[in-house]
Amino acid sequence: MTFTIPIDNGDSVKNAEADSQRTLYPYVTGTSIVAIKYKDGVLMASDMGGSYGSTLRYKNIERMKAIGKHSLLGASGEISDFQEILRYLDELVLNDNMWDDGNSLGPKEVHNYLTRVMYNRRNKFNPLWNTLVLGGVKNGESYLGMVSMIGVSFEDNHVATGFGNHLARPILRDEWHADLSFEDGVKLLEKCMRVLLYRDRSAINKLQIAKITEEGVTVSQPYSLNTFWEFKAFHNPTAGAEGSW
Amino acid sequence: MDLNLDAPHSMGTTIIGVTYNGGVVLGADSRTSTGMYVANRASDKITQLTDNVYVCRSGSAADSQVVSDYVRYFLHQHTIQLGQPATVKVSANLIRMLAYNNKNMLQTGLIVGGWDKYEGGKIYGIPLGGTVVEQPFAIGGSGSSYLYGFFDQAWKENMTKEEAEVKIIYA
Repeated sequence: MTFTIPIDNGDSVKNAEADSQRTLYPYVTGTSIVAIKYKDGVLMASDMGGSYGSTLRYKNIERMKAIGKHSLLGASGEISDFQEILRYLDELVLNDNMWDDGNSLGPKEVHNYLTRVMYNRRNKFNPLWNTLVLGGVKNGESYLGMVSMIGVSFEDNHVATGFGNHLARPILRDEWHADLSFEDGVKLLEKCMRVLLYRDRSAINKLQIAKITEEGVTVSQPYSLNTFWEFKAFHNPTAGAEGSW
Repeated sequence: MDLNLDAPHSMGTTIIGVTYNGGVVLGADSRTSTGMYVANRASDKITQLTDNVYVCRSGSAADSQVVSDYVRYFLHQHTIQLGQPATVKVSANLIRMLAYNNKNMLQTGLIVGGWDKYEGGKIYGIPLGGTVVEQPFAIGGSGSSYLYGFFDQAWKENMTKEEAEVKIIYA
């Protein structure tokens, strides 16, 4: 078995052996991302956890990153693949800047690029094990889209990945409307993230919310949500059950 | 008792890397096991990459040794071309490159720790799969499961070297 030394030829890091890469499995994974369009642009929320199987190994992973001037990428799934995608996008943005022609990649273009990358990897049975959320604002137009690890790609007013598909989507369908204010948007996202915190075993109570507007991208400092545990049954747990079993 | 001396040499390891107010301290146990047999009770799991960067190895002994050897070689060339000591970040990234691109074949978790003049003492954890995570302290290997709770409670920022060493030895 030869030890492949990656050769960087300016495009991507390729393997010398053709056969060695097949379907993988993820090791360090991030859980859901939830994102919505609002009045001034796009809001995206994610927690900062990195799970290693069933153990929550890392609690300081940033799963949302700014891409160029106009976009924000959030990822769930394998973190090493997300880091690799960020490298591809770095190259893309660098080449875009080198043209020095006043144009810059907008969210639609980045989303399209990612869709092609994800789909082509899927066709080679060597997927990047991520579900990506791409949001951005360019020339006053907000954009929000999603790509999965098998290349399924679409845009919508609100998206969610992983557990968020099951838990956050119904809330968003009911309560999202056009022209949400920033405060209302954040409240809506926090509502979704709270449900995910309660019901997703791999979620942690340390989240960031990112905002993209025409002015640019800002990612908040990590903070935690208030949770409710004041159930009557916990107040006096031994009432009616003296002694042990 | 089933000795199975042909089982792959895995390390059954505990490795730790901690930053303190002046640099980093790395710690590791010294057992290499083949199944139930202890193949080497005096292994050195902390391996030098450059004068200022070391790596703690866990998982498959062979995989971690060969990755370290390649990265030491790359870093040596890099140092010559750069004209100054390599940074910890570059070392971590080289390891990541090998770990990520060969993720199907490698089974090794590494902790890179060192000091450079730009960022000071830094620790980077590189688990299976090739993710790079910069951390104020990192633990790894199968023995590390028992230490998550300990470090969550015992770690604090800006320890002295002595405090860090004591904690690691205790762990």
